[in-house]
Amino acid sequence: MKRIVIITVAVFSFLLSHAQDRNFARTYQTNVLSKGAIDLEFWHTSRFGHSGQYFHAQDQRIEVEFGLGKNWQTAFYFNRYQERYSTSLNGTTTSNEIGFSNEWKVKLSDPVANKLGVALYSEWSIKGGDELELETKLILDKVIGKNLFAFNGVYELEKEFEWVNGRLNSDGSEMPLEFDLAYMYNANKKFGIGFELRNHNKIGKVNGWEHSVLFGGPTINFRSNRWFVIANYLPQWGNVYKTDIAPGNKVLDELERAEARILVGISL
Amino acid sequence: MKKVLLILNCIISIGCATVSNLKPNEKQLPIMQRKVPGISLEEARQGFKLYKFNCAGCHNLHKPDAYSISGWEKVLPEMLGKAKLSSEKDIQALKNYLFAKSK
Ligand code: HEC
Repeated sequence: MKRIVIITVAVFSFLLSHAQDRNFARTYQTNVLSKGAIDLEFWHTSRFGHSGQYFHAQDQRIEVEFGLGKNWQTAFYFNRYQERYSTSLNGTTTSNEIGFSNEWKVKLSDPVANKLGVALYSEWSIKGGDELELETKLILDKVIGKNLFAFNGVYELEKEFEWVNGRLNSDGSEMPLEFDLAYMYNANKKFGIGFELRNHNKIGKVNGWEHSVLFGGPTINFRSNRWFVIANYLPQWGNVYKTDIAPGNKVLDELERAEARILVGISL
Repeated sequence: MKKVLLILNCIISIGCATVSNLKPNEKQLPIMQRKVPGISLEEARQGFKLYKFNCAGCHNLHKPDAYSISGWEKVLPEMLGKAKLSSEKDIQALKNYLFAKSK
């Protein structure tokens, strides 16, 4: 973390151009970088609060985005995942994993020039050497004056692999389905304030639809010519689809009580 | 599944198939030519395409009629640099489009 801060500060002080106008911490917009533009983003996400257990996960990502022209964009991420949790009354364990992701995004229409901005997005990741994730998103957004609205439909496929007796075995797979809805009021060129809503649905092969959890919280966005900073706090509101597997008002074993994300972007 | 695809198809069509309100059309040509004499529909459309592809990377597009010609002349030098546009022909087409659709 310390190193990330140092790199961030160093790059900040050297760069004098503007970063892509991303507005939300979680919800994607249809914008793509123009041809030849390169952006650097640093992400930090903290997830905390499991029931009956100390739990704090920290996900860090460094992302490099490239504008390819004709409304295409690609990006590469290096990811670090750390989880710290209690295993007994006074013992905690920390696990560390690293990962790599690659995303592709194409913008089909524009939120100002067209009735609706539409983009398609897909990302593949490897995590810790034994997990493969595929994520596809439909992104919609609309700009009306100073108001920005965005919606994402996200379909994920997570598969874990294992070497067993020299053969590659795949045990569990998960298919979370997520919907994000976001609004921001861009008060001026430098500042925006809004909120993000997230609806997470767990759909497993064996157990079917297990839960549907709502999160929601405020997002603020500061930007200048050279950089942007976005922060979001996202507490869990509750489980709106209770099942035998997830009977509670909240889901606090696989999901967290709250999530906080800070995102810093600069352009090269 | 079929239903989902149908809905997706509808959404994407709303985005893509609706003719953009910023896209130059036949009807606007006389008004555009009053601001930029001699501009052809084809040239204006080329400028619009360049605008869409090059000017929405860092911020959302600004409506061309949010600025007058002199307003555009003030912001364009900096923004053309930011967009790394270098071809004289492209720059001219983009400028002509914005001027033609200006306030
Ligand atoms: C590399 C990023 C970048 C690109 C590409 C870019 N802009 Fe900008 N644009 C900015 C920034 C940053 C601001 C706000 C700060 C400022 O006013 O200098 C801005 C502001 C503007 C404004 C508002 C100016 C005002 O003062 O009201 C207009 C209009 C504009 N851009 C048009 C364009 C056009 C046209 C293009 C394409 C030729 C373009 N931009 C491409 C970064 C960019």
